[in-house]
Amino acid sequence: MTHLRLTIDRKTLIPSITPVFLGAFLVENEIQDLYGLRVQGLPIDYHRTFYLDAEVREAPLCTYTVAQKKEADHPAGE
Amino acid sequence: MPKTTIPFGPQHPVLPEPVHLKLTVEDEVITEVIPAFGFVHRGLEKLVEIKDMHQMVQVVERVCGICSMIHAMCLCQGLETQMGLEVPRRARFLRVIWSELHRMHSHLLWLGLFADSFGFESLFMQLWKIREKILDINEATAGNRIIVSVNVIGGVRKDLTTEQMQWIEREVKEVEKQLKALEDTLLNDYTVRKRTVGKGLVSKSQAYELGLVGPTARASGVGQDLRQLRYAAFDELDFEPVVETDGDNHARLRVRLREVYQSSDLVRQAIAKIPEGELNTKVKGKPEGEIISRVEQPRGELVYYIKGKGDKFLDRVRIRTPTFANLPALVVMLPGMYLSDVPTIVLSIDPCISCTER
Repeated sequence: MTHLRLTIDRKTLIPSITPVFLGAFLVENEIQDLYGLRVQGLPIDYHRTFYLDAEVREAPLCTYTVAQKKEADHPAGE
Repeated sequence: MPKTTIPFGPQHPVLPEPVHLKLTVEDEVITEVIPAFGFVHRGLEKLVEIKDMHQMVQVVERVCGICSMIHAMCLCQGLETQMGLEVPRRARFLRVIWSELHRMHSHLLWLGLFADSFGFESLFMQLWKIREKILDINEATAGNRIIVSVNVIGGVRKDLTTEQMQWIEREVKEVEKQLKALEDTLLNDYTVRKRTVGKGLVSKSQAYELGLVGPTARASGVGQDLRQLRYAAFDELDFEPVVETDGDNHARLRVRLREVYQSSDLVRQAIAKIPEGELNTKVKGKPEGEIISRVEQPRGELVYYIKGKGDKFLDRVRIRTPTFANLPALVVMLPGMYLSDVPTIVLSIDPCISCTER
């Protein structure tokens, strides 16, 4: 098994791989729904209503964590 | 030629679970298919934040009712490999026995539904009557007919006595004998052949490029069966994948029928070779890091991506079920067919929609 990973930030558009592998359109729609990312170039695009209803505004699985600063970087510490 | 748009589903007498297809039809011949989902989405993957890893085994069993034990086995196998636990040999053989019994009753259910989809109700009732024997075995050995909870992280929870194993062997032989009596009608009847031969064709290169899995791919000549990876006790059992080359509905019917015979043979081999021993090992340590675990479900290849963070709560469990991989095949199989063939073709990929939208 080969693993391929893509690291992007929250606001970038992800280019779709559905022209290459047709089965990917379901996964890319799911990523749009559950994580709130945007995929560009999907031939069958459900516009975030794949699983969720149209009224849902937040992405269910997207978690944001607060970055911990190390003690030496803190300007007010000793 | 004017185009009409006809909705198929979500409620339809032939579908066991709701899926919606928007069919564009020109004079009874289909030209385009767009599927739509979301009718049974329960959001089970978000429960990892609240339930710890032992409770997640119970949650994951309820993703699908028919192949529930195999989902739990996949999660347990992934976590055991990551934490370095050694599962005792007797537990691995018991897992094989229960998962092959699940495969038999899932395929018998599908055969009955397929016969019902073209109106052959008496065959549907006969096949489900044969299936009742396996549900009786489930209830007598594990306590429940469909969702049997026998897996824990580290092994199994329940044991089988020698009298129970001899009874299982007799019942499985009886199932095989009764199914052989129906085989001639199921495969060679004139009406059945008219409705299945030449419908829903998928060629071998199309099956490979779309990434199809399970009996849908094996009926087109792609001979991949994940039990060849020899997980659980399959490294000690004798087994060959069942492959046909035609690629139409009739080939998928033949593959699943032959797999019932193969599963009953595997159950009898496992009962003959099962050793004495313990049922489970103690769980030590916490899972950390990522792991991918794969098993063979009745419908195809099941992939689990499990990520742990060093705590008893897991970080992410992503389930990729085989129907998720087989559904894009409908976009390719249906154009060119008549509208009246749509129910049998949709049913021939064995859709389990509650697995797809967990």
